[in-house]
Amino acid sequence: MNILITSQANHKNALVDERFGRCDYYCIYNTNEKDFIFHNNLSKSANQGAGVSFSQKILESNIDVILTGKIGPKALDVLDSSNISAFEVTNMNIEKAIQAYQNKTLKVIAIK
Amino acid sequence: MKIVVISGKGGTGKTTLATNLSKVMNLSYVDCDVEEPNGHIFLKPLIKSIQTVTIPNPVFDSNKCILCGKCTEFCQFNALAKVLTNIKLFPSLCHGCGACFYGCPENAIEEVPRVIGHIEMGKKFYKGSLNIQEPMGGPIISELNQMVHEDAIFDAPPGTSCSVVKTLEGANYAILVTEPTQFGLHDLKLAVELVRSMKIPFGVIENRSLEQVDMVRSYCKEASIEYIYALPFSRTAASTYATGKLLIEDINFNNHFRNIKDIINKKMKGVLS
Repeated sequence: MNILITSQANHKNALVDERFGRCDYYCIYNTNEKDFIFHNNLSKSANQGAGVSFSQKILESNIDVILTGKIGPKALDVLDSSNISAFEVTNMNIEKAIQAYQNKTLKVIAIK
Repeated sequence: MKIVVISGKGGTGKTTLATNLSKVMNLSYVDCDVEEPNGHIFLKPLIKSIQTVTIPNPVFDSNKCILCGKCTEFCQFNALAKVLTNIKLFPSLCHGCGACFYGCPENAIEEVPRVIGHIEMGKKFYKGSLNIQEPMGGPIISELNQMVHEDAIFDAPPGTSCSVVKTLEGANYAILVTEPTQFGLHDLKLAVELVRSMKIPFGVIENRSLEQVDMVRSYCKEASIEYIYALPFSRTAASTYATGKLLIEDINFNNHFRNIKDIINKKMKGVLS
């Protein structure tokens, strides 16, 4: 399973970036391999529609779960057709957020 | 001839200046502050006709669309997203540029006009209004630019954004209105940078000016900018404005605006038709 976490820097101690479409980086954590792969968020600098662009990228990236702060209405509309689930993180680093997700203590973000 | 009133900072007196000056100069008044037009409150025109303003939005033919997603790549505004079963359009992000329409390899896109606002017209009066929830007033201002052929004063939106640039297009002269505050001065400098980069001749009018505060005048002197006029800080002006009246109904302000008219007329000699 692939978990996408929006992050403020490109290492696993980094804080989760609570901005979705305009996060600085995102990390894809594979639960089987237990590896963290970081990417620059190219949607960040969009003049408008960063959330739409980032969501579209996610749809193409075989993601099962999103851990982030808040997701805007247009981005939710793009994710709507998928089976991706999303969870809200406040003030945690990436490892803590993954633990919290696995312990089922995070709040669900309603996509549909 | 096109005179545009801009300010940088909001609330310095663009509409006050534009409405009163259009009256004393007998020029048409064009409200380009489409997000919150308010010149009509003071001019009280009789509206003779209304015209809607539209932008083209893509509509997809699901029989022709093969979900290649090329349109989403062409779109520079992230208005399109390819989801599992279709292409999703976010109308509020669409600028109506037509890139998706021209780029679609399957001819699956039709352009359909969508209303974003309207223009009201009266005698020597034009007012653009953007519909609530619409984010982009530019097309309404472009429409006003094309529509108005007579000599006119254009009342710009505040700031130095795209809408202001659009209002300034083709201007013969710009009047920069400011006030003697740090915010007023700061944003005046941005406005100066804008009109200079567009190579539009301009001058500054200081509204609510106070004898003891010299910052606007001294900045203009330093930066070699024409300081046209100081409209005094006045309780009468505030109460006249607050009751929706033109300042020229007051004898002192009537004289002030006539003075401004004379200065502008001198500048515009040969341009006024």
